[in-house]
Amino acid sequence: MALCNPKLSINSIPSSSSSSTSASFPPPRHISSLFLFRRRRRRHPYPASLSASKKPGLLRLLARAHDKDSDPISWIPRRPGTAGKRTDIQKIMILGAGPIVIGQACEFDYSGTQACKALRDEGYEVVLINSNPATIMTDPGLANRTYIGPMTPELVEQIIAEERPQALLPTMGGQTALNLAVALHESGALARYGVELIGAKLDAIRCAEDRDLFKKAMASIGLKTPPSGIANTIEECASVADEIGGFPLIIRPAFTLGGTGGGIAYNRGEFESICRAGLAASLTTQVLIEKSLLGWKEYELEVMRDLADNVVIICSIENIDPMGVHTGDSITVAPAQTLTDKEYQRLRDYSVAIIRKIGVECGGSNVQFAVNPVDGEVMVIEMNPRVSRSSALASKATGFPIAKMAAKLSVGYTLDQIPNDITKKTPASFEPSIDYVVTKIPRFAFEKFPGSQPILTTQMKSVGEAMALGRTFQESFQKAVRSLECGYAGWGCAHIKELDWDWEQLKYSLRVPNPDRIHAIYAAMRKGMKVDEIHDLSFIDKWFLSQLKELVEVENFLQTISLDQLTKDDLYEVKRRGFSDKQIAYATNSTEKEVRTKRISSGVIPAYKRVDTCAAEFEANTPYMYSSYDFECESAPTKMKKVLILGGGPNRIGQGIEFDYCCCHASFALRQDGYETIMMNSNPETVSTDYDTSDRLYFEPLTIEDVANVLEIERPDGIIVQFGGQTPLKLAVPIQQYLEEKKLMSANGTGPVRVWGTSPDSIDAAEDRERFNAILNELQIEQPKGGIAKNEADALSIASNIGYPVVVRPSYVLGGRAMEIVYTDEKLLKYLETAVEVDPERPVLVDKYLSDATEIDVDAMADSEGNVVIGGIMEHIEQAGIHSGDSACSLPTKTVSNKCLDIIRSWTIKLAKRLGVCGLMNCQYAITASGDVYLLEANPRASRTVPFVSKAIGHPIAKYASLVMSGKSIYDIGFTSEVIPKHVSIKEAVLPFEKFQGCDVLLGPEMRSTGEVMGVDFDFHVAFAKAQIAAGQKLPVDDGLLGNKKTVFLSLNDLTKPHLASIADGFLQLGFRLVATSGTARVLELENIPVERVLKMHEGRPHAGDMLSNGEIHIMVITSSGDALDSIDGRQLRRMALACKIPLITTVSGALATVKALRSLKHNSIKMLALQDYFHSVEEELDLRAASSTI
Amino acid sequence: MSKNLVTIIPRAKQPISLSGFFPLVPLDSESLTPPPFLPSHWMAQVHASYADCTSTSLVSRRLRRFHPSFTGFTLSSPHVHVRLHMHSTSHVSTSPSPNSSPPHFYKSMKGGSTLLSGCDDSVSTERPWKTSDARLVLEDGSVWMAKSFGASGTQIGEVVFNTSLTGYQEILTDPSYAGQFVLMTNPHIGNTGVNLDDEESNQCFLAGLVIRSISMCTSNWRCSEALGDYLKKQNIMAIYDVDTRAITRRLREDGSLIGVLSTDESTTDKELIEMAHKWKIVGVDLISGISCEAPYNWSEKTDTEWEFKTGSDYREEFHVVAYDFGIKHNILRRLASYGCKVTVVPSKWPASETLKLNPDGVLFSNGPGDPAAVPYAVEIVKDIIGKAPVFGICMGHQLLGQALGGKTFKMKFGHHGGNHPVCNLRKGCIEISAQNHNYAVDPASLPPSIEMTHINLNDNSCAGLRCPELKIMSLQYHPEASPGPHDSDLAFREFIQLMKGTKS
Repeated sequence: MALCNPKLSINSIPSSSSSSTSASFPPPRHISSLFLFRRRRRRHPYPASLSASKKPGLLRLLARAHDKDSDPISWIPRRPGTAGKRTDIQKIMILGAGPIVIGQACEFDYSGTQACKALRDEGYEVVLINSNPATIMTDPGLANRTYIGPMTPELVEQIIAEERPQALLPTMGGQTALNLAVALHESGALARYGVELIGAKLDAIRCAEDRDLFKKAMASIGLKTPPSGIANTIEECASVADEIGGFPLIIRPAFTLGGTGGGIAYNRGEFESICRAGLAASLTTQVLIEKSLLGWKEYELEVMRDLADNVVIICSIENIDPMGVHTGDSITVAPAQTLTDKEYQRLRDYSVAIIRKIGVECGGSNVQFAVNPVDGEVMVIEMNPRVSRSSALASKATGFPIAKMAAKLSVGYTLDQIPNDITKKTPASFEPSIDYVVTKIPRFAFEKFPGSQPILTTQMKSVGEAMALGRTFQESFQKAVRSLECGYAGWGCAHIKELDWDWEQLKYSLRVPNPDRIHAIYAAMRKGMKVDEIHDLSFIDKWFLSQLKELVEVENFLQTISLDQLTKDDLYEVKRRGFSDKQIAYATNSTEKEVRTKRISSGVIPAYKRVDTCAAEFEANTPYMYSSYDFECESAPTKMKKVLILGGGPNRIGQGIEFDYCCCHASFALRQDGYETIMMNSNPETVSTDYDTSDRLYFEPLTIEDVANVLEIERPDGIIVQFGGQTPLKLAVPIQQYLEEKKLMSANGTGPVRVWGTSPDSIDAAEDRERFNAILNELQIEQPKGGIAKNEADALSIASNIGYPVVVRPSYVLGGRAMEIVYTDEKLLKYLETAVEVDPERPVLVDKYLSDATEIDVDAMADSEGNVVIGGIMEHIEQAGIHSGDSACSLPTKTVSNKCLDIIRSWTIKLAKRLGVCGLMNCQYAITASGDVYLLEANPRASRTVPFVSKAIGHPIAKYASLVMSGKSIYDIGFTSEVIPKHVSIKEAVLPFEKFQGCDVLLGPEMRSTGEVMGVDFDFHVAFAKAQIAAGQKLPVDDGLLGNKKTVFLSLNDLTKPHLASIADGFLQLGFRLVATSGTARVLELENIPVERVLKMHEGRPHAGDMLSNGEIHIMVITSSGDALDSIDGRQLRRMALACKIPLITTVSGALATVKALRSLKHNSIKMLALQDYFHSVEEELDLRAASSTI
Repeated sequence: MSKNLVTIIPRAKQPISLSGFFPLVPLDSESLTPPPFLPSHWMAQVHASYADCTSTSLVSRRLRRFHPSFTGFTLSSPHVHVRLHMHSTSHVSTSPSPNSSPPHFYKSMKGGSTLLSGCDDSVSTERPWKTSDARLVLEDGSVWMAKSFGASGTQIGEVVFNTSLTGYQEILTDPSYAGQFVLMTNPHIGNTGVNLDDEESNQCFLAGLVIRSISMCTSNWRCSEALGDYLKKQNIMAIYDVDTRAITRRLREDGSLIGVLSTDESTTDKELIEMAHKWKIVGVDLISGISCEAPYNWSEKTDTEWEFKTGSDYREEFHVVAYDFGIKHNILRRLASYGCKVTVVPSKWPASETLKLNPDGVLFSNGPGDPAAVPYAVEIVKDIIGKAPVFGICMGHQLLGQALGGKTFKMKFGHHGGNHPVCNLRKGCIEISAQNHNYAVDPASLPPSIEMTHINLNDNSCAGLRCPELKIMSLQYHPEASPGPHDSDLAFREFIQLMKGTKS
């Protein structure tokens, strides 16, 4: 008898579908032991029912063996939790993470989505609240009740009162949800409505998040934490610093995410300012000041525990950047590479002890350790009692769905009762083993925040990350570098700027952690710096440096040889080290195409390996793959009709979760329509890289080489490039060229492989300024005057022709990168000198800036037959000139005349037809005060607003568009006319200024927001207020204490002064006290509006800044004059407002909308309504459900 | 004697059948003299002949280093190495060997062996990688080109995979791997080098190491030697740059395979495959070759730095006699940590002699190979059970199973890894365990008085037994960890309590 054969084992019988755990996987433990006893009884001639006296000796022995009392070892009773799924709760509330901010990105959409699906699978009713409309989790079909709106304790309590859930799951929504849960407990709301916290109890949250309690807890289990002290005031901070003695010191605020408000202080001055910021940032005004362990190795372990107290470690992660850099900003590698078993097991023991001590009763947690590289001393840094960014990474790195498991554990399952999704046959109670190396590299956006220093500290600053898998560290590292899309085809093999640096610059860059440190390492190695020296400067472990050093050696070798001389074995050796074709081309002085041709003809093609959680120990059919240049390919492509969807790559400002939403929807819709969907992406935070989102998943860089490799093996019917943002769109033309050359036939033999949707040529026509201009002329569509400057003289002459102000920007950019509004010749020249390079290859666009115009965003959809339907028309709250991604907008429009709307509609339809759009298109228009309409921009791809529009109108337009691209007409889908909802949806942007010390907070044509929130109501102003509150603005609604009036600070520049009176009047009527600087005050006085004067900061004291820090100002309206003085004085004031968390409005329209919102808040209280309630008719409801993700 | 068996020039009293699982010496003139670091009287030379090969010739000269206890006198502790404390990765050391710091690269020499050189060598235009110089041939006929490090020569063994992410040094020195090629699924091996503290026995017993990538440099504060150097000294063959995942998948599908590893270019693939076909590991007694030859005492506890025992100090002393079927040092360390005085005895130590020592408990250790091939050990177990509390680990568990009347069978590809979930049926909790066995006890063949206490949740195989009447407990896996998680350490406490209950 072969018990080892899984086919015969009882545990493998159930669960042909992965859908439900409840089926009977595995049978409850008592059954499995019964089974074993039964077998033996069957062998025995005596039935068990015989009386005791007749029992033969052996049987009696057995009976006694089970007599617990006679047992020398005490019988530990089974804990109640082990019984399995809880039946005493039916309705569970899940808290989302709110808008994407730095430190809290799509990974919580991933975890929330998994949690919703898992709990719905188990038959629970799910109530969800999240203010972020761009998430998959807020799809109306995913939860039973979906609330998109502000997440304040008061409003959530309102929802609790309405929905009456029995339990609240706070561990899926990051720090936002955790803090909200604490607040709900403290306000007594949970107790009032009898809501139980599941996943993590309050004591556990407190113990892990409160720095003092955590330290004590660690001491009580004998673990070391860095020498440190807790402070609640600035004075205490100083005394703690004295106690520890010596700088640098690390400041960590309690209850914040991504280390917000924290940092490393090297001197007294810095120390004080960071402590102030930290105290302000902390929910509990508490900071931990600790001795810096700079240079120690940093490790993270992902831990899971169930209610029966079983604990497993999912993944160990090693940070390449040693202590001192936030783990979110570090390059990390899984599994840990430089620990022996004894050392690793010690960390494992500690992690298990910590999760038990903190009392996270079930679910995932993340523990961070610092290890002294000299003697192995271990210190505990911190612990997150929830699913975190690292959990998402660990899930994608190992294939183990942490969030899904955590959700199931929270309702009572134990780990062994849940099957491992990947192998199906083994239980989830195991520790994944991986046979590859995972590298994650963060992506930064310092260039968007002038004035901020590109230095990495304990406060997280990265906006996204790319992950890559490879069989070795070198392979995964190179793939991760090229996944980042920062202009590198890999590590090295390129002429990078660092190579021109002198030693001092290089050494500085090695010493001070910064986003480009890896490139400085490359340059230093090229110039002959030794590994030891680089280690001494950077503290990066020599193991990693030696691996990189070998890459440099390979490059040196390649440079001495020509492409022809490379043998097949050589090519294998080089490709196994992760070099891209482009890199090889650079080093061998050939072209990428030549390298590819040579490589393919030598038979050096990638072998795809699968991610299976068990290092191939068990059979697994997970379609989760990565490329390698090893021997055996496990891809096993099918011959079904299938489609390849290219994702968006790492998140960055301007391209993030919205595009992932579209990709996921495309996958859901086409899967439902009978296609096999294949996803290709490199972003570990997303839902799209979940192994069950698509039929097959390739975790690969989005470059033409990697896409072509996948195309060659999969040969799909169609390729979708317009959903992932600019990244795949840029690949459209190269892919088309490749397809034309190769004449690739689809796997099912029905025709050639094609790019679906709008043809690459049309995409190019819309992106190419000159081609596009010709089309607009032909269609008689107006656009602001402008021209293309190929040099400085061009620019000046264009500007003088059209007149200032002008908008200048480089061509082919996303998110308004380096876009500026310029008012004079000098500024224009300065811009061309400093901001962008201008040459015939990379021209600069100069356009007339339309002052005071209203901006309109339109999402439209067209099918292959030329039918066009408008998805939504949005009116921006901020005037044209503010990047559309940063301005609030409303759907439907509020102030736009029907005449203008008709022009916009007809132009959009005309343009879509002319361009031959198939799928989605986004257009931006400006309407001047005189009512003239201009087209600003048209993009033949899914836009950032698609998820917002879908949720506002109740139609998943990304899904429709994907079906349209597969050949259906809009009539087939049944979406033929524009939907103008009765309710108003407002989108507001969320900006990351507080993370970037020193940069100004003004909005401009360059996009800086990281995320967005949505407010929905039947009233425009309430919807706007909801959006503002959701975005974190603390609107001063109530009267001040003791009847004191609230104060508004006004400082408007000359351009905006015409609107001053109406703004001031609005605040006055709301009972505000007005305070203004001299120029503004003079205008108000002329209008006979009572105002108090206050000095500007450079005018002497007391000035506006003093009032601000004394808490005498409650809301500020500042429009910048943009002059030299303002950029110092005004900036400082604005930064102060940010630090003091005073609502700051920097546009006139924003101010007017805020006044109205405040007015309506004063008269009406906010009422929360589920998204499902806005779509009353049964038909709409059905539409919504059918179209949202498959469960 | 069959063709590929080897003759041993015996130091042991009776001839032992061996099948080529001992470390090799390369077939060159130098190897005729023993390496300088070993006293020559610790060695026995072994000859092998392969009649099937081109001519009856001496294929290789085999070297065997015995356990130190084989010297015939009882050592107070066999832990004879000098402990070195390295306090830095960058500043070493008193170690006599070329050490870990500064990091080393493996530099290729055309057709030659791996050499070490500093990582800061000047730029070379030679190919910065080694070319294939070794073959792994499996009995299914597949030939895998690879690069060798460690010893060279020709070696035969059973290929098993191990999914542990850490602990390659413990695995290399685990005597249970005698006669096997261990394939590590974790691609990077050698990152932390080797150190003197993490040895599980005093030498490497495995037939060879198969990995994806050998670390070109070491990084760890305890490292005293690079893995390649160490394996060379230990005379263990090792290869890298093989698609280990592909081989693992084969092993999963086809079960464990016999393989031949060779750096010898003159032998054809066909000959190597034939060698693989002729070799058998089932039914071979691998234990008597690696067990100690005379009893010795053990008192070294788990180093305080690595101690993970929770709870109170164990002052009470129990005397445990541990049968060495290839015992891992950590079993002994854990017992010592729990306050046991341990006497290690050879695998053939008569039960009567053991009972004369009047032990509080007897431990049957882990060991390599087929439990059915060592009937003498089963007899010893039979003689002891009932007379003293007994704890069996791995091989010991299988022997107990047989002694109790049960059967053992060879599993398809066994359990080798550090992540197997085991359900402790008595406590209802899960332990993540370190496992390393190819054979298992068939629970259906056991008498009903035996309680199954643990099952492996991956395949429901039997992972633990007990019989309170007979004071027996046994585990199929490794509660001593090393490598692996420490979840099952409580088993030692249970053993202590079992002994306590008997003593009082």
